[in-house]
Amino acid sequence: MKKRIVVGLVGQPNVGKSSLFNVITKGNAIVTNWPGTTAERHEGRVAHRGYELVFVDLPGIYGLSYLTMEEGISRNFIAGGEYDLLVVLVDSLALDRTLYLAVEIRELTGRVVVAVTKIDETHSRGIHINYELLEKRLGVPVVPVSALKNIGLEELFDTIIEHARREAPLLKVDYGELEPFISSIEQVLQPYQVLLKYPTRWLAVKYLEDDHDVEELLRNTLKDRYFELEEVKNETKRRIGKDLAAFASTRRMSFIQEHLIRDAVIKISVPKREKRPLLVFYNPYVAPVISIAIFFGLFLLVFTISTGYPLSVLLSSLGYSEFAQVLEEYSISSLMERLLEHLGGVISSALGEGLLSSLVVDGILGGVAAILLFIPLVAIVMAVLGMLEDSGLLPRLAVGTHVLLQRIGLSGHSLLPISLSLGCNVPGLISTRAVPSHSERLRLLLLAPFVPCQARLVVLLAIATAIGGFAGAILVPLAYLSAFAVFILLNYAIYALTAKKQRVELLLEIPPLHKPYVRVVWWFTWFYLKHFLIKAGTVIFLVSLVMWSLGHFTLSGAYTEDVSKSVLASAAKYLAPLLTPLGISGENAWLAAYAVIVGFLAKELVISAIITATSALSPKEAIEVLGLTTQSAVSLALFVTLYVPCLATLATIYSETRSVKYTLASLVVMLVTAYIYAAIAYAIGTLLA
Amino acid sequence: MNLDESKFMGVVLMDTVMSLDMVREGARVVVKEVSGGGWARRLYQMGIVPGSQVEVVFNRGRGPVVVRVGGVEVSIGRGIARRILVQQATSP
Repeated sequence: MKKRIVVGLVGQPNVGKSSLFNVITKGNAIVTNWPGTTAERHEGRVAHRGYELVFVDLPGIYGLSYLTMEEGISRNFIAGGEYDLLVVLVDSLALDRTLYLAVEIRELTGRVVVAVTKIDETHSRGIHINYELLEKRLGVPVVPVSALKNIGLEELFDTIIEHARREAPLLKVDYGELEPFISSIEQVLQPYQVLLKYPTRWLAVKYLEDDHDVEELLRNTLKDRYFELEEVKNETKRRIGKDLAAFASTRRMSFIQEHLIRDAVIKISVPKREKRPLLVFYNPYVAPVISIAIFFGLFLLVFTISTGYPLSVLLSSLGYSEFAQVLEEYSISSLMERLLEHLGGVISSALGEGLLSSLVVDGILGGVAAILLFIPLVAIVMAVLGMLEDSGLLPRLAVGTHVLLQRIGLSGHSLLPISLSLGCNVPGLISTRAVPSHSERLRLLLLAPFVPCQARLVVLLAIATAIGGFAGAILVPLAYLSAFAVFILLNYAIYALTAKKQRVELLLEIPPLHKPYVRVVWWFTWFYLKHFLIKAGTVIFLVSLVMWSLGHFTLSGAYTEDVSKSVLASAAKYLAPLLTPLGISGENAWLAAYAVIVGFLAKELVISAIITATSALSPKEAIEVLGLTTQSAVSLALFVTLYVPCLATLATIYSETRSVKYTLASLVVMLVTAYIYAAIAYAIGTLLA
Repeated sequence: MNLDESKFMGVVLMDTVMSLDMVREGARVVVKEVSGGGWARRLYQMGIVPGSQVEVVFNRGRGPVVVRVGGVEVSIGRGIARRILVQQATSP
């Protein structure tokens, strides 16, 4: 049996931690959840010289005090101590700043190896590092590595094995005028040493820094002697100033400058400066325009590759309808559809007619198809955003759009969640974890599902083609505008009511621009695509089987091929009168209700549900069977755009908030908004006609 | 701000303390104080602590202020920048 060594991988954001983790694990990470949260815990295993090294990838943190939920996870892991060793990553290109985390950790534990990253670039930037000296000063091994060039990994593994569980003496930062007070607190803590499990000096410093978790721990442990600590802290604040955290941080920074870096790091040339033209991304007047233009252009391109739209419409209006047709035929969504149709046909003819064939083709394949169809569509959006992110353009666009987003109560931090949502809402919601403001994050979790995903684009296009004419031409832009208008208005309303117009702020590190690395873009794409696959794969797949049963069995429990006799149809007939305000009435109105119920599961199923239920050959024919006028078809399309995107999104809202109340509230908000909006749209449409 | 004094002494610390959002582009400043809010800790961790040298890369009176600190660029919303008090480090 191999000896196991558990290694926590920590570092500040942008030091190249994900790159290193992916290289170490060669992409084979085991994904579980952090206890009590839904944030993912990535674990990679490496066999090395008879040992099994278990690497745990921790969310990036700037220091041990935390702001976001993800940062809290890292802090708890580091403070929890359930590891054999921590590998702290520091960026060779920004040592003075990234060493801050390493220093904070070295004050807490001796089980540390420091890895200096990106060393392939160090020399070309004129930076020279004396690793032995740094090692001596930090008191723990220092290993230079490069994930992209595969340098230093063997040495890192060897060092880990050699130093696992070995407690080096703690680093002692000189806190100057704070020192006597630290000693007083340490004295009070002395009798509790065994109980507290942390170094008393570290506790003393963190207590003075108003660290919430440490205050809580000491209050609970010291009980009626806690007031002694409070007295010392009050005295300290009287002498030194209110903000002791600022004081301590300053001392740590100067410790880094004077005791770690001096003579150990030499910079020959000044680090590369931002080229002047790039400053345009920071300009508060020009940048919003440029940023939006870039996004608009990119998404038009993505939509065209995925569906042909909107380039195909432009081409046919210019008279190149043949070319437009080719574009649509070879778009990804139509290629995938044909592939799945073909597959369904093959299985049907192999199994013959009947329950089994229907279960496999409509139930299982239908469910799988709903997911498969969207993998490439979602992946393209993720890849494009991955390129923006890795190249360093995305943080600049976040700064550029911040001024605009601020007006509606959001910050530049919301840009990624919103743009990911254009691909798929699930990764969009996941990415809100990095939004520092709690209230902003909650608003995004509630409202980002209004942003139309690729599934809704496909449904909208099918309805637009079916109704044709002027209404068909403006349907897609109208739906997107409606969705964004609803998103913006509701967000602003909640913001104005709850945040009392307190400004939403931005604080974002902007890494240097570079050409995107294919590998890194793939990691980004895969990270978010995986969330889509897991959520959609389990939730949508299981529920599609339930839906299939409800759609193929009668109330008395007999199997039926006729949808209109099924349980689902009975429910739809019961709910159909509700659709009257949308202009959908008459004996076939239940079919629309049926499609809406099925669409609750996943939006893309709306069209196939209508087609199957009406036994029509095309969406156009289906709409005729439904007895829809142009106005009511538009109204239905708008309703479909705005109500719950899919069950997977709802499940994600729950898993991110852990609140049934909040999830139900979001469900009600979406349904009510969609209903009212669609009814108003129908009324206006009727008036215009 | 006493201009004569700054000319006279070459490199001086001017005594005018102002908030970061008021610093003109290109200037180098020393952080004096960061006040209040949950953002302070994050700023400290990013190297923006009292005593650290910061170069203002971009500031046009609207939108985030971009500074360079410790070789890294950081974009700081104006509301946060207003709470960072700085002192001009070198005279022009």
